[in-house]
Amino acid sequence: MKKLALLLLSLLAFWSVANAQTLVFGQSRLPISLDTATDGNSLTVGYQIVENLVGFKESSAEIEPLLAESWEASEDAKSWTFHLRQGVSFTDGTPFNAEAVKFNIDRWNNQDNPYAFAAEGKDFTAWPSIFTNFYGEEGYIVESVDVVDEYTAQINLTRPLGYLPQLLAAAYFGMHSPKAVMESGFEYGGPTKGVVGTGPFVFVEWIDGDRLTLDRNEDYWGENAKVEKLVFRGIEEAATRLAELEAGSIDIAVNLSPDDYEAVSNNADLKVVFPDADLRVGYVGMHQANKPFDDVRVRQALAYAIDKDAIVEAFYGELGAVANEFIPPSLIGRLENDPYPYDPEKAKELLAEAGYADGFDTQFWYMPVSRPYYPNPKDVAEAIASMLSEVGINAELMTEDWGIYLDDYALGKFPIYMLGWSADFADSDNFISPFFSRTQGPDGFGWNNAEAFDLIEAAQSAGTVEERTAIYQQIEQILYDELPAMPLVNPRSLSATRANIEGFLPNPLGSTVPFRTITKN
Amino acid sequence: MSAYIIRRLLGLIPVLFGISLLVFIIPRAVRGDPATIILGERAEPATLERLREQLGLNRPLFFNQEGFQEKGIAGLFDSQYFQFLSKALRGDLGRSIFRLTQVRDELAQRFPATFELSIVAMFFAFIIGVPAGVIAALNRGKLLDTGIMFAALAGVSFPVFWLAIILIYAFSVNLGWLPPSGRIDISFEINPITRLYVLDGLLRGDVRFTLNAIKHLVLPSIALGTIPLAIIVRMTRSSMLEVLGQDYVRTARAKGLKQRLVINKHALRNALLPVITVIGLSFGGLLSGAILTETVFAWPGIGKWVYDAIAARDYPIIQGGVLFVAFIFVIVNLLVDLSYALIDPRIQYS
Amino acid sequence: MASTVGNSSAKASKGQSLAQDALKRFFRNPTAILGLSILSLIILMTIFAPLLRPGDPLKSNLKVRQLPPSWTMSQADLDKKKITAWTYPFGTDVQGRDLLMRVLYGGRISLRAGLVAVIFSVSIGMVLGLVAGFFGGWIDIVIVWLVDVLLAFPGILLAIALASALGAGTLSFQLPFLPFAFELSSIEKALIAISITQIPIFIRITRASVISLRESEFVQAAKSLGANPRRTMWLHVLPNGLSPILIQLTLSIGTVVLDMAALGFLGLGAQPPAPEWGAMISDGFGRFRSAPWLSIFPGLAIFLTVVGFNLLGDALRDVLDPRLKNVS
Repeated sequence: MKKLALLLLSLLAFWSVANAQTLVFGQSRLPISLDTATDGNSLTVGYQIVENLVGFKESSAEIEPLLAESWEASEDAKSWTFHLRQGVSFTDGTPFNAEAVKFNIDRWNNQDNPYAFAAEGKDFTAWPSIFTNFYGEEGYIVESVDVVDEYTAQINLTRPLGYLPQLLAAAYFGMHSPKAVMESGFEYGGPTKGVVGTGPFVFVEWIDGDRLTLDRNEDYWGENAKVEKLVFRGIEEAATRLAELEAGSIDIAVNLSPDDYEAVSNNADLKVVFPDADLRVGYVGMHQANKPFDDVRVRQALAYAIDKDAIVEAFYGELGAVANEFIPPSLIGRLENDPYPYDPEKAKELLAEAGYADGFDTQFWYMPVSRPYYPNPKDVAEAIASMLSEVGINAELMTEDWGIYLDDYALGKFPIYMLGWSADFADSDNFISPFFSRTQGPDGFGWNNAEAFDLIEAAQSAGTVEERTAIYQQIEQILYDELPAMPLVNPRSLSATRANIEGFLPNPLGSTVPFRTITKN
Repeated sequence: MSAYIIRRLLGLIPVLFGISLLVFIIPRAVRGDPATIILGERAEPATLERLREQLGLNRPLFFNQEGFQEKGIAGLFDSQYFQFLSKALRGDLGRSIFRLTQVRDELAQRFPATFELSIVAMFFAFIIGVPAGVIAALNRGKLLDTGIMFAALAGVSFPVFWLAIILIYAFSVNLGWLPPSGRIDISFEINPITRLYVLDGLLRGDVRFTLNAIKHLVLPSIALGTIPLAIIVRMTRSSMLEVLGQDYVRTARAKGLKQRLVINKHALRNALLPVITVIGLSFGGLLSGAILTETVFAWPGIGKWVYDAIAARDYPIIQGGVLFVAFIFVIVNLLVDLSYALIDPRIQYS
Repeated sequence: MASTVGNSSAKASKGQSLAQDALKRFFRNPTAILGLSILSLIILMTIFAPLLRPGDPLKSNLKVRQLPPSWTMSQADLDKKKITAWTYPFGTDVQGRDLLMRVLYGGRISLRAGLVAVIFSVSIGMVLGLVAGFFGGWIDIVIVWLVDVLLAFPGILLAIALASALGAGTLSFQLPFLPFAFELSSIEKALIAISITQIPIFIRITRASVISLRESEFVQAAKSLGANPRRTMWLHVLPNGLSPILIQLTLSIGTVVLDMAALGFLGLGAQPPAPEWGAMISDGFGRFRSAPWLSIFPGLAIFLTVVGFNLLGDALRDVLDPRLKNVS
């Protein structure tokens, strides 16, 4: 018996030693790919291995230098010069220099680049969503990258862009080792090959369906990471993720269900973590190129029929606020109008005016996955469908795989649908142009408002904050009146850590959280 | 005997052919062009064309008449289906649409997890099911028999996934005895040898690792093993009753042999033969039951893999997984039949 | 190897009295009585669901969402929600809908699914089995091959593969030569997928019965008297081979109810807000820590229904086929 106790004790001791240097991070899934995927689960892992030219200040959406030490724009803002950090190498020994920058941007920008692997099925959707389009296609922005000298790269654009560095800070644009990409081929970024970057951690192992392991990069150019090993686990159910956190088998759990907020805050072993203001919005979109949503009264009827307060209170509690406009509270250009109130009678009147006194049948598409802006999309969808049926709108609930969902939404196949947005960079533009610009608006919303298109482009190149604020307010007024989509919620995403974890600071932008500074006591 | 084996092996060919045909046709019939599925509907026509070329989608589905005219009989089979078949025969199941990895590699990584779980579930079903069946048979008609038989009937009436949730709720959430998900605690280094974690732990002499792997196996194998358990109980009981009624057992009893000896030496051995068949047949059921069980327990085996692929519409994985499971099932059935024939000399091979 | 069917030729000659005898034994069988009572109770409750729990099973009521069974709540909590201890005997779901009401309405989906799928597969299976067994030759070989192929997919796997290939949501399609389009709801698609997995079982049983009966004395006698073979098949062979089919039919309903729930759980069957039992369990799965009742009650409903059909099947086997009595 004594022996057994001793054995147990030594095991326990061994346990804690083994654990102290390993940080286990629980998210809903393991990555899809570390190379071109655009989902948060993939980006969070990739962000620890590859680094961007431009980084973010700690737990903030403000940018700071990372692999580029400084940058400047030409006078017309059509050409940007980046001065690179010197003496940095990728972990496979390849030097980081202007050639590497050119290699990376060229392969993102140009579908015909042999290392884009487009014909093999790789599809870097982040590029057109942020830079309007791929090279040579309508409205593309990036013209070319010039290697000025070993540590100076110049990016040439087709039109002025005042905030290129903000865009390049988005989590998608980490710098990969050209040698590794060329050697691995299209399997680069997958479980067998991993990725090679300059960051504080290196890829070790990816056991599909189980875990993904990174080791500390001992030769990191900056200050080394505090923990030796990072393990990512994909645990689909938020409830299971919390159970594992409570059991101590993981150290950090992200995207917990708002339902569990109380349970987490009452547990002394755990710490609740969320950023002060997430830059996110969840909305209900309507495709107005088709009947019946071509009629603004029908769109407004939908807004009157949905009890936003009840939905946000029920499914978000303290972790959400009703959203009345697309631009979230901390950014410029908001209107601060009164929201469309919950008024089913008014909704019925509007429907009758529009010629739908008896209501109509339609489809309501909800997301198949939990995202930070809609942690429980099916629940919200069911509640909305039930409210719509009260005013005679009979909505069949539909869903499909997430990847196809995003495609189909862009093809305009959904009459009503749920979707949301987590900011790539902290600027009002990122809450307007991905939806309502000349190139994006017609896709998901069937939105074709020339006045709004012109205003959006004017705001992009406007000089002062005051000018931009005024223009965005104009745009927001149009959106409020025309209602191509109904903003529903500004959520905060709930994460929790074990009490002994210090330095986990979620970024309002979501995936761009560096784990370098996290300690485990 | 060898003639019987050869006949059975030859009999497999049309079945395997039919399986491959079904697996090939279903997604194509319903979903259309795989290239569009991979690249999405907004893909550039030129890119689509390149991918179609690369995947061989420009060829006819079954028989290539042009090829026949040009190259004779070999050209006739230059078609999508025979391409798929010949690749599958060589173990090439294509690439995952989203991860671009070889389906074969993922399968190899996933299968040991399912195999380990199935073996343990079957073991659990066997060591409880056989004694329970014997006890029921020996107490025929008594309350104990009724009780066991009702429990066995209940055992095949549960939804597996529901039982799994209830087990997690009782033993992980409320009592905290057993882990709710996964194969092993995250704090362990895996360094796989066979990828069967219990075996790996034993091979390395790592007691802690082995125990932890076993702890993770308990709940999923109970959930997965319940249906085979119930079937084994019923089978053991009925085959016991049949054997106990036979002359040689009655003679042995009449000779005054002890009850226990009669059961062990004569009855049980003969009664177990059909039970072994049932075990073999249940193995395939385990593989499909694994889809539900693994989903609930986040068990990284082929069941969870196929389920995720279904959610993501990753057809090469669905195809590869379904093909593989059906293949294993057919082979196991054959082995059961053959071993049965070997064990029981009364069976004729004609 | 040894065929277990085909003992009914002796019975057949006695015809009427044997059926009466079987019926008498059936109603004396305690298993049968238990199974019948469970099933009648469930069927009655689902039929009278609108009377038992008036209201709309699809309508959300966010003010009372996710309440535990009301008889477990404290008086203070009950007062706060302005309900009594028996307002929500099964609690409410995520949308604040009465779980008891949804479980009752869910019975309609599951029972209907079970019946429709089994009738569908039994009719196709019997026709093909009769044809194969009676005519033999190439037709037999092809049908047996089809059965072998379909049965090579264990359990629910084929249903999953089929349902996933059919996709989510309503599927509309047009058949050649028909002027109108077919529309299949997600439940109907799941039904078709499950039915297809049941067909080969019925083919196999029917065929085995037919073959053993074909060789039996009375069919041979009919043949020698110069009776039309097709007439013989329908008039003599089919009725005599019915009992194993009847047993399998009963057991199959249970299997279909389970498979339907499994597809619903995997998101391949009924779509929200339909109160399908499997989908309801799936809803509860993510919340089994905070709201276990969400999955417990629909699971119990499935369990009871399937137990009912299995008891009935067992009893039918005892009564109709005494030789099979001990075999599972």
